[in-house]
Amino acid sequence: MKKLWAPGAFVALIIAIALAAPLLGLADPVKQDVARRLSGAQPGAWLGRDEFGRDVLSRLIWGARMSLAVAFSSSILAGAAGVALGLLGGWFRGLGELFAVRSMDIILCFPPVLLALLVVTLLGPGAGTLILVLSVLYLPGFVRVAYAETLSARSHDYVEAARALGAPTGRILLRTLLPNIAGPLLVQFSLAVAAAVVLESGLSFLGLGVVPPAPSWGLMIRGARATMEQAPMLLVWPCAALTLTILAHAGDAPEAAPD
Amino acid sequence: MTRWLFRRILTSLALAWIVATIVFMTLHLVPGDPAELLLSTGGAATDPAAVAELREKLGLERPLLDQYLSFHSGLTRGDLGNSLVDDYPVASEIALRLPRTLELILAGTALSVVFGMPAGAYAALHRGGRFDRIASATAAFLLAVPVFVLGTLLVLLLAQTLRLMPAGGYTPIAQNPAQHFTLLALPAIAIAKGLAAIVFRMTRASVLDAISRDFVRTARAKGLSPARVLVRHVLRNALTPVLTVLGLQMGTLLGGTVLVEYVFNWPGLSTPLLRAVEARDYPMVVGIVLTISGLFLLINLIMDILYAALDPRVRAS
Amino acid sequence: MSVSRRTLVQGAAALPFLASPGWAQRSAGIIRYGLSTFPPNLQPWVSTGAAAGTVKLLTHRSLVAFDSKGELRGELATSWSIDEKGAWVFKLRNNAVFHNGDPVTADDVKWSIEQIAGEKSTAYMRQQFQNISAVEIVDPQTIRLVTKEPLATIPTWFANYNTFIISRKSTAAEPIGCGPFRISAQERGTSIELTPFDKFYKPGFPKLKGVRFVVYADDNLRQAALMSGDVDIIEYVPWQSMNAVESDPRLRLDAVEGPFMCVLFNASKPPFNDPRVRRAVAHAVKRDDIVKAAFFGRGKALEGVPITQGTPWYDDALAHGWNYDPARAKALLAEAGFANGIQATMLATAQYGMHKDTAEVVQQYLAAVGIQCELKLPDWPTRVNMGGRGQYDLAIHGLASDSNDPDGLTAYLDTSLSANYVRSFGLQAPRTKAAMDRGRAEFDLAKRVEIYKEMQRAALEEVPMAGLAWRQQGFGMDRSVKGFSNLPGALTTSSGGTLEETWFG
Repeated sequence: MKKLWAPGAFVALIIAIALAAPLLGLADPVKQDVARRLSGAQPGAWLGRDEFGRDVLSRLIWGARMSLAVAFSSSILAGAAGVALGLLGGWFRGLGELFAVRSMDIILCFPPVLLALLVVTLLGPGAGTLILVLSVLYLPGFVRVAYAETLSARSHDYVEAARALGAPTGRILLRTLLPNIAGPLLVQFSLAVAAAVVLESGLSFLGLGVVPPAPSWGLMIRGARATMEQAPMLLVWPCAALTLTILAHAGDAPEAAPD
Repeated sequence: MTRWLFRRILTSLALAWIVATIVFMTLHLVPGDPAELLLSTGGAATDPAAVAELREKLGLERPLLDQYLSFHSGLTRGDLGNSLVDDYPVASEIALRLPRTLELILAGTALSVVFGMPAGAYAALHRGGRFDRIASATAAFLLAVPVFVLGTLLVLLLAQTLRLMPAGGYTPIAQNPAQHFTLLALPAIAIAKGLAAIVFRMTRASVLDAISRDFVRTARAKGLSPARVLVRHVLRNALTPVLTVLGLQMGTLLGGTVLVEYVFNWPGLSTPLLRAVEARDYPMVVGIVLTISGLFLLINLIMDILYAALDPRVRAS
Repeated sequence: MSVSRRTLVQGAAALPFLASPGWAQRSAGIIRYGLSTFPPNLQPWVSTGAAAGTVKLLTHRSLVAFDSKGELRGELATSWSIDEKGAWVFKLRNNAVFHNGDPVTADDVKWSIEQIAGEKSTAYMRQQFQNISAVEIVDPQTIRLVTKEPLATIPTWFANYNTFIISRKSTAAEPIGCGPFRISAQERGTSIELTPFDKFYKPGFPKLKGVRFVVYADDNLRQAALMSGDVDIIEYVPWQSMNAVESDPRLRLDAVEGPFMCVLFNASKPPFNDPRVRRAVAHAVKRDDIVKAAFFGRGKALEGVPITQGTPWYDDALAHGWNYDPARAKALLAEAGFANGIQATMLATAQYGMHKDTAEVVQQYLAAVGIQCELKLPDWPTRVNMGGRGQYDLAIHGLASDSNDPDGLTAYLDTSLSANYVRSFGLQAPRTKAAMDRGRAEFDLAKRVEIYKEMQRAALEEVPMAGLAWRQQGFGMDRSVKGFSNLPGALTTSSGGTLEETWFG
C-alpha cells in the first residue's frame, strides 16, 4: 500500500495541474510571436518559445490537459466496454464468446493507422474523433485480458464455492470474479492510458490527431522534430512530460497481489 | 481438437473476408477519387474530360456491386487485381514487401522477449530493489519516447555523425548479408523498444501475481526447490497474459510498422498500404488488408493452440 | 577507458562490411539521387508529379527542352518559327534514334501529338492541344502545326515533362522513348536505376555511367543520407537544413525561388464574393512571419501576383499591391459591411507541414482584423475533394506556375475554368481573364509586357487568389557533382533533366 502512495500522488499532481491550467495565469498557448521564435528560456517564457514563437511552458500544460483528457477518456471507455464483454464472454462461453472475442478480432485485424485514417477521414479530425479511435483500438486489449483471466479464474475454488452457494451470476461476476482478475486489468488500464498518450503523438505526427493550433504533446513533438538541430530543448520538454506521465502510471502497477 | 481447429479456421476466413469488405466499403464512402488524385499529383490542375476518361479506363464507372463481385471472382482465381495507379499486380507487391515486414516484426519481438522477460521476472522476484526501480523507469522511458524521435536520433548519431552505418534503407540478404543485418538492427530495436517495455511490465505483474498463489505455496510446502517452483509453476502461469499481449502486439504490428518504415526507409508492407489509401487505390488497399488480416488471424490461432498446451484448464473447458 | 569519436570512426573504416556500398558506386560514375517520393507511374503524357517528371526527362525527349538558364533549346527540333499563315513550323534533326533502334521521324511526332490530343486521351496537355487543328508533315524533317487561334506559347508546351515524343510502335505498357537514359531496374516504391543509351543523338552525352534514384520520404532521413554520403544529391532539401548544407564544406546548396503559397477563396457566397473582403484578407497578413515560421527564412514575401522578379513582366510597385496594412484591411471590411467581423472556415491539410504552418500564421493575422477562422485540416485526398467542390470559405494552397511565362499562371488565375482545387471557387475575375487571353495571343514582347502589367492591376483588385510567400526549392549535393543546375523560378521541378549534363569532377 505504501508503495502506491508516491506514484498515485504523482498522477494526481499531474492531473491537478492539467485541470488547473486556466487558473495558473499562463501565457496564451496559441498566440504567436514569430520574431522571437525558437528563443531559449527567459523570464516570461520559462521554457522558451516554439517554432511560431508560442510559449512552451503554457503549451506543455495546456497540452497536458488535452493529451491526458484524450488518454483517460478513451481508456475508461475502452475499459468499461471491454471488461464487460470479456467477463460475459469468458463466463457464458458459446455465443457470448463468439461475439465478445471473435468480433474483437475484426478490430485487431485492422492495421491501427489505417483504422485511424479511415475514421478520421470519415468523421473529420479532432479530439472527439481521436477519443473514439483510441477507444476502439484499446477495446480488444481489455476484452482479451478480461476473457483470458475469466477463463482461468472460473474454475478456481472460490468461484466454485460461490456457485455452490447458489449466488446469482451477476453477483458472482461482480463481487467474486472481478476483484480477483483486477490485477492484470489494472495493468492493462495503465498500459492503455500510457499507450494512448503515445499513440496520440504518433497520430498527430501523421496529421490525424488534434487539430492545430490547439496544443497537444504530439503536435509539440512533431514541430520540435523539424527544428531538432536548432532547438533541441523543444523536443526534450514534451518527451520528458510523456516519460513522467508514463512513469507515474508504471508506479501504478499493483504491488499488492490479490489475495 | 480437430473439430475445434476446423471451426476456428472457418471463423478466421470469415473474419478476414468481413474486414476486407468493411475496408472496401469504407474506402468508397470517404471522399476522394483515384483518377482525380492521380492526375492532380504535384498540384497539377486536372482536365475533367481526362479524369472522366481515366475513370472509364480504370473501370470505376461500373456500379459498386459490380466492382465488388469482380474482385471476388478474381480472388477465387487467386488474383488480387492490379494497382489503379500503375497497373502493378497487387500480389507481386505483397510478395515483395511482406517478408520484410515479417522479418522486422520477428526480429523486434525476439529482441523484446530476450530483454523483457528475464528482466521482468527478475524485477518481480526482487520487487522494490534497485534493479526493479531502474528497469521500471527505463521501461517507462522506452514506452514514452515516440519511435519517430528515438529513431531519428539514432540515425543522427550512428549514421550521420559517427558514420557507422548507412542512413536507413535495405539490402537483400543475398546481396550483402552483413549489410542486411546492419540495416535491420536499428529498425528492429525501434520495434523492440515499446514491445520490450510491455513484455517487461506484463511479465513482472504476472510473476508477482503467480508467486502469491496457492499452488505456489503448495509446491513449496511439498518441498520443491525454489528454481523448480519458478520455472514449472510460476513462469508457466505467468506466460498466459504475456502471450496474450505478445499475440496482440505482433498482430497489430503487421500493419503498424508505418512509422518505423518511414523513419528508417525500411521497405515493408505498411508504406504501400498508406500510399494506396492516400491514392484511393482500392485493389491495393483491399489486397494488403486481406493479407494482413489473414496473417493476424493465423498468428492468433497459433497463440490459442499454445494457450491450450500451456493451461490444461483451458483444454478441459 | 573513453572511446573518442575518432577511434570509433577509424574502427569503423577498418570494418569493410560496415562501409557504405555507395562508395563503390561513386567511383563507377553512377550518381545516387535521393527522391522525396516514388513516381506513381511513368506514363509519358499523364501528369503524375515532379518525381515522375524527373525520371521521364531522362528517358524521353520532346521537340524542345529548358536549358540551365530556363531558356528553350532544341532537342528533337533544331529550329522553330512561325510562317506567314501563323502556323508553327518545326525543323527536326535527322540523327535521333529511339531506344529500340528505330529512327525518330516526323510520323512519330505527328502520332504523338495526335495521341495527346485524342478523344480518349488522359494527357496533361490534352485540353491545350485541342487548339492544334492539324499536324502537317511538310517533309520528313519538317512538321507544321496549324492552330485555331494564334498561340505564342506553343514551343513552351513541348518543354513540359508531360509532352514527349515516343515511337508510334509504343504500347500502353511499354512506351519507347529516345532520351539519354533507359530504365534498367526498378523496385516499386523504393528505387529506379537508369543506364545510358549509347545511341543518344548528342555525342559525349550523357556523361554519367548511370543514375540510381532512391526514395527517402522522411525529410530528416533524406538530409541524413546526404550528410553521411549515402547519396550524392537530394531534391527538396528541408528548409530547416538548408543552412547546414550551405555551411558544410563537402556540400553545395542550389536553391531557387519558384513555388509559392497563396490563399484561395470560395466566392460563390458571402462574404468572400465581395472583392473588398478578399482584398482585406490580402492586406491583413504579415507575410514575413510565414517565411520565417514555415520556411525558416528561405523565401520571400509575395505581396502581389506571382510574377518572378527579373522577368520583363515584373513591376516593383505592382509586386507590393497587397502590402501588410491591417488598418486598411479593417477599413475594407467595414466598407463591405463586416465591421463586426467574420466567421469562416479555412481549409488546408495537416499532412504537409508547410501547408499547416502557413495556415496557422494566416489564421492568427486574420483573427487580428476580425476574421475568425476555424482550421479544417483533413488528409490530402479529402482536401483535394473539398477544394474541387468549394467546401470551404478560405483555402491555403501551395503551387508553382507552369512556366516562367505569365501564361503559366492561367490554370490558377483563370477562375472561369471548371471547378478545381488549384483555383478559387465560383469567383468572377473578368478583367484578369481578359488580360490573360490577350497576352496568350500576342507575339510582340513589348506589347505583352503591357498586357501583363494590366493583368496584375486587374488581379490586385479582383483578387482571384491572394499571394502569400515565395518559397525556395533546393537541391543539396556533393561538391564533386558538376553540371547539375536548379532551373530558375517555376521550372525548378524540371531540373532533373540536367542530369544529362552532369558528371563527377
